[in-house]
Amino acid sequence: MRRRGILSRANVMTLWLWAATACILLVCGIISPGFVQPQNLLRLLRQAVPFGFIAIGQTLAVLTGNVDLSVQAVTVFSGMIGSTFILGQDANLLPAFLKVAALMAAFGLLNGIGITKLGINPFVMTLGMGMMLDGLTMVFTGGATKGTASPLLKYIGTGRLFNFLPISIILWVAAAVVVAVVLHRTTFGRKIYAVGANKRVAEMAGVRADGLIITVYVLSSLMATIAGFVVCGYIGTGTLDLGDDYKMTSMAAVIMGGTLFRGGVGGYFGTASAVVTLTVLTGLLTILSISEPVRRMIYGAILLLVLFITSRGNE
Amino acid sequence: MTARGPSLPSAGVLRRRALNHPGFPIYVILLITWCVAWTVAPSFRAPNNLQNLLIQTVAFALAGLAQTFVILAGDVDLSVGGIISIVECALPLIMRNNTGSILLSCALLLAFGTVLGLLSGFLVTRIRVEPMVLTLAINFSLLGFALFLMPFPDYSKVIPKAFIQAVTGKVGPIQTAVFATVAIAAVSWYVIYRTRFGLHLRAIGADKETAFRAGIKADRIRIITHGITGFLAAVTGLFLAGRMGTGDPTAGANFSLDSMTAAVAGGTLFSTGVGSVVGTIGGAFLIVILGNVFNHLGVSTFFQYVLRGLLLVFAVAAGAVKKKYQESRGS
Amino acid sequence: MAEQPFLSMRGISKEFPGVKALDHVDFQTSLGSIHALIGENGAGKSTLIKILCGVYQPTSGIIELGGKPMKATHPDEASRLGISVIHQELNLIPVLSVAQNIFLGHEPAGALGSIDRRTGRARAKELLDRVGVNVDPDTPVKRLSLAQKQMVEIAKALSQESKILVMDEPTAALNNNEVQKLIEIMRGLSAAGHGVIFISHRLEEVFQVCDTITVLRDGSVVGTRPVAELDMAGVVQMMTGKAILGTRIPVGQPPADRRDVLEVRGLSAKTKFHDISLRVAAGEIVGLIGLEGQGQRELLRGLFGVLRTTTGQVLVDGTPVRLRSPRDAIRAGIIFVPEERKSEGLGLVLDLTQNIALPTLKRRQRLGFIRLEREREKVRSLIEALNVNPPVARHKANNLSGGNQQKVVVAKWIAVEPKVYLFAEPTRGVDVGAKEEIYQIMRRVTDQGAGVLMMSTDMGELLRVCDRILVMFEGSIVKEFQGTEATRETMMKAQWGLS
Repeated sequence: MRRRGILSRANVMTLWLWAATACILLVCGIISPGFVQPQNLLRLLRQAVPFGFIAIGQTLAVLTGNVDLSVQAVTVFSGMIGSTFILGQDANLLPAFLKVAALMAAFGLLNGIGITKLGINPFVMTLGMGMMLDGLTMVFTGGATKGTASPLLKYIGTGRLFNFLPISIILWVAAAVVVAVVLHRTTFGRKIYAVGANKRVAEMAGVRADGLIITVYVLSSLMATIAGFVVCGYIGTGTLDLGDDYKMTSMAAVIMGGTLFRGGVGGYFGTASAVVTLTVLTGLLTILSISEPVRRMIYGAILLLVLFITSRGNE
Repeated sequence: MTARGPSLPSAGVLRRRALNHPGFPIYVILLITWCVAWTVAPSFRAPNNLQNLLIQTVAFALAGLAQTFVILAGDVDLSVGGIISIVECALPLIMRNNTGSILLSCALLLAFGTVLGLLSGFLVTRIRVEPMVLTLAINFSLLGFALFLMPFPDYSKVIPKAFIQAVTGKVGPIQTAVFATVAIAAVSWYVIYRTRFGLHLRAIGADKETAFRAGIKADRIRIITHGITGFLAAVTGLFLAGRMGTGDPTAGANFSLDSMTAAVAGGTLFSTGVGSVVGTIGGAFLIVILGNVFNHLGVSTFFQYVLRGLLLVFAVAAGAVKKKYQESRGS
Repeated sequence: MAEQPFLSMRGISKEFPGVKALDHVDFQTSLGSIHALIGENGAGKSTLIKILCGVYQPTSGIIELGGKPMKATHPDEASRLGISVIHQELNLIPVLSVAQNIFLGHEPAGALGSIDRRTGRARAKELLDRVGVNVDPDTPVKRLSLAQKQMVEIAKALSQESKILVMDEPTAALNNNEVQKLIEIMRGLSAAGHGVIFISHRLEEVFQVCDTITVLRDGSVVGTRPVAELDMAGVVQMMTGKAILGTRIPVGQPPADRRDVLEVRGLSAKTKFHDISLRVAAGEIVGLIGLEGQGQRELLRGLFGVLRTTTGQVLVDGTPVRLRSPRDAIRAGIIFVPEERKSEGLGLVLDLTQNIALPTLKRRQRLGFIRLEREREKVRSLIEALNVNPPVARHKANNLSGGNQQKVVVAKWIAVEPKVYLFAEPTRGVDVGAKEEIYQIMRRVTDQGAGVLMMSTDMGELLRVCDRILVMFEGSIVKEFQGTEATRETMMKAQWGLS
């Protein structure tokens, strides 16, 4: 009964996603047997961790009927600026994280206020703010990576437990569980669904909808901050090129996972499943030596397809 | 009572019309910015700086015009950047060094851009998803395609000198491209404010229901409008290719947002059917001036992005606040 | 006045799934006639008009215009064939000019796809003169007054050479001078050979300007008479009709001393309602009724903090309360069951548990975590008590029938245990069985000490359920009835502003 609550509506979509994942892995295994070895799969999954964190924030935003397209910029900023604070010292790690997190929380706050109080379209607001943040990143770092990750951070980014389970995956799974619990067991989560389903009804039931949405944007930025630090730990320093355009892929993952764009329906389990599917797909495309441009075109096409399929429900 | 022919409106009416014109605020801001820039940055006053400003404005103005059309029709088209990128990257690949090839390539690319626009318009009217999301996704694919055409600026693919001359040449002190832009703006203005199509376009953007009741075919107009947007985006791409001298897959990406900034700052509001071609040009000019000033002040060039993002957010915020204010007054 | 009717509707019926909106309606009007179409809310007027202008197609029946059968599938087509409707919510685009609005969709063509503005301006001026209004055709419509906008709509109708103009509640928001001007214009149109169909709830005006009256009731024509043969009382009687009254819901034990749960003193909200004073006692069900747009809906919203009120005081259990938002209202003990349950009452994509638990989440939480057992129990007990069908808490609200959806909305509010229940059209779109259940629910909560203020357009319902009934007209309460004394006739008369 309880587990049914967590899987909720995304049931069908999630099943499809796992089926697709299995198929893709099958094809991968045929083309390159070494690819589907557990060690390699876990390595692949480790690359999904930042994606997974970003997708948490996006899921929350879309559940309330909004969207956050500044996630890419926040992740890049966190990694770049974070590494300049860390400078390779473990002692600096926590202060660096807190500083960056505070900055990004303020950023998310601005997003939320602009969207709720000023009525600015969430797409335009977060795109514009993202552009600004990208600019600030460049201004502060000149495009060059300064500073490095500390040993602890590197351990989080690349280390394995029992020489097998990557730490970052454990982190992600823990976060996923927390998100699921929050969404389905807390009043906060309930209110998120209510606001997404019908903001008016929620307000008339006494919910502070605007405050909730602002909180969601703050959380989204914080999730992207974590993602940025994880990337930094993985690569060893900050980076401008995350290898993917996460503002698009996170939207794709959220929609594929069964969270509807108009809000109120869905959850993180579906999104996480879609993250896995997309990561595995990336792996396949890499094996097939498909260049990044073509990869982007494929992702774009998938997104359009998913939009088309899920739009059948919107009359 | 017989109707008199058009008589000259009184000074009072003219003044009120100017004050209420949606493009008015941007020109005030432009004037202030110009004065501030003049006093604050000495190198800003250099005689050829104005030429510099004008030529830079061309791209933003054309992209802004492209966006103005769709916003007036009640939509948005974020695939502008993608189309610009594709045209910019495809040009060096297909244009050969003879007049025939130059003309043909231009025609082909313009047609291609138009078709891409029409496709966007078709999808937007058929798939019941917000135009923002849809065109964003389309843009993503288009940018990927541009990257595919030219993964990195390839200087071996040479653009014919004749074409570059045509784009960057001068007639007297002013560049031909500037003249061309003014001409395009004038034609756009005519289409929007003097033709039936333009009127219907604005009607749809302002009140789809009423327009429908009057027998206006909204879907068809929207698709055509997106086609126009694609066309203007292709023109922008041609210009950029000529000016840069090479293709660059990343140059076009930001134009999706910048085109919105120019249009919204110029007074074109979402979902109102209210807009201004003249204002959009002003918005484009503002983007350029601000960047130029900060350049002359020795500020990091990366600050451009911060500026542009800030400008976009400001412009849209101002528009949203204005709309709220008007709605509460119950216009 | 011509003898031959220009517009002839015969045997018009219109059925929607589950409801017959019009039943063999015969309606004729001639050119030069100003013909009133009257009926209370839901009588079928708007359906008839929508058929005339082509938005709906009749399920059966014939329409003839000028002797020829007319079939329009689009309002623009209907206009060109000769009938234009001027709706209450005007179909004008504020940012465009008067001339542009008049010729929208059929602009005079110039060269190169352009618009011939000079001709347009001239013709617009002609039309505006014909209507009798002095406005510069180049003025943006948003700068005109409401009365002037209406005249532009009339000019718009004339630009299509419409012979018949239907005016839907044109005088509702006009002041006295503007009303007289409009009446003059209607007389002018009639003299010029147009036919006017006038829909209004202001009987005085109807009797002032119309020559014929048709009364609709429950989708059928009660009668069509020349104005000379009728008086206002007679019209009201035609509208009321004889209906079999259901039995009155037994009134609970009247409380020994009257304690007011809700007291309103002099409440006003700008143009919507003014100086409203009323009281609802514990255990009382008070009804609120009025014609469309008389302020009753707005009053309820004002009492829930959704609409801004400018002056006046509201007291709950004797304590003055400030109602600036729904949160304030809920905290004060007032809840609101809105008329549009699908857009304002429920989250359709949410399940019953989520819907029912929403206003009272705080009561069943510890450290932010929902105590699921308690919630399950609460939701289950409410579903059972209200007989929600199917009684599955995990069902999406969208899947329930209208009546059950309404019960879910009520359930969520019962959980709040409020002192005052505000209902707006509580049984609209609800099947008969569920209606009875909802009335029982109302009685139950009042028996437990709450007070109910319910707004409805169904007189029968109010007569069965309410202890007292208040009638609103033009933003004020004009009459108060004891539930046992009121009759349809008297209530109807009060609604139309007569006594």
